[in-house]
Amino acid sequence: MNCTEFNNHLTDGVDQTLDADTRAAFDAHRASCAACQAEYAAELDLVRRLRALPGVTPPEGFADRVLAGAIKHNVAQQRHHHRRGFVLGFGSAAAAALAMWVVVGMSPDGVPGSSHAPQQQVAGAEQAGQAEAKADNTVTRQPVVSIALNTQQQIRLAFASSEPLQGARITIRLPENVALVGYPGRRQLSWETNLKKGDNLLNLPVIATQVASGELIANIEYAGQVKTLKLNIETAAESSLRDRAIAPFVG
Amino acid sequence: MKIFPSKKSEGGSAARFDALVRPHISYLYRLAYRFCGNPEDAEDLVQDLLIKLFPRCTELEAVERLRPWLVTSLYRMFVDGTRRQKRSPLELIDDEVAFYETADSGGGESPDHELAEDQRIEQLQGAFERLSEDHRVLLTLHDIEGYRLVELEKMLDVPVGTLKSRIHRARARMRKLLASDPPKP
Repeated sequence: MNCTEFNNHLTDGVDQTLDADTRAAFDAHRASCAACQAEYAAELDLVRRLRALPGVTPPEGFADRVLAGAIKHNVAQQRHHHRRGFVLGFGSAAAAALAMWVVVGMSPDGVPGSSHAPQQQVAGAEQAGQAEAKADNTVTRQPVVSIALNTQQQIRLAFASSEPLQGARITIRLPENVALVGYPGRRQLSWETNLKKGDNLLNLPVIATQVASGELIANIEYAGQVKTLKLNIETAAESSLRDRAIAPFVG
Repeated sequence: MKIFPSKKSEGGSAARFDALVRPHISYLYRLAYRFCGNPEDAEDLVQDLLIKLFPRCTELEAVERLRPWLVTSLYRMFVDGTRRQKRSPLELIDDEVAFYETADSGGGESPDHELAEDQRIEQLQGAFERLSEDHRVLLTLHDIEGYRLVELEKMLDVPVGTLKSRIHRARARMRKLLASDPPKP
């Protein structure tokens, strides 16, 4: 056996899965070649160290929590389907999961530590098919942000989720007066992503391309249902970011 | 503690699911932790897996060797999630400053050899976390958990020869990472 052949058998050699003849040739080469012996010893040491790594234990109550989460999620979904069949808007489980969706702020782009205070806005998501029925005492107004022409800004969206959601689809539709940095000419972007439990922040770097007013629409789809947030974007010749107090909304 | 809701029919399937899956949850978490490299994503991965499996309780009951079956499902879910994240044109960002507290030593000073061993483990874990996801998964299943290549061939649907060369590369990469970051004296 030469060094190349030895190297080809190294994984099996360390794993002790060579047949008897190959093992004999492997060991004979190892005894006669210091470099291959060193290689073998290093590989063996690595595997022994990996096998001896301390075990990872889940946090206390983890099994109870994830089992309860799985059962609650599925039972809620079944009840929802039985009660209402297909509806637009998030059903019970997903609605509970994505309890709030807000625009959390807008700040000048690429200026770490900028003295400009981020414009803070909070607005709720409209739940298609349920918005009218849920016109309770929560007051919402469509948020508005203003951007100076040819200026790049970060619009930040937050998706607050009470549980992890695998494969949520986010769709962003842009108005004519802004462009998404890095995607010239694209008016719509859509992709799947995983939402973690808690706040999920999305940075939308936009640039104002014409003086006008338009509506940015952000959809999030999960389990065949849709939640929508609309955001008015006004572009002006000069920077005139305005503060608008908008009531928080829990959807 | 068994967890299931109050309604009788729901309680039945929940109790069956609990009995089937509970014995494997710590093990799945351990694998998920190695795959993901952090406890938060590991918890999410196991939670998502159970959410997906709960409606398939009857199918689970028919599986002869449930643990490898669950490991395969966990692996596929991890790979799907990773691919999905890679396809995202815009990344969700983590806006919070993470901080970690050093574990409390419990008051007593560690003997030198224990300290050195701790440093070696820390170095190993640090290098392991810097591996690619593919390499982490393979070394977790083969080198840490001891699955044989023929078992992994079925579980991961990858031929033995391919697995062998990937493991070879993963170990080489690991050794390179360890060499570039030796334990602190």
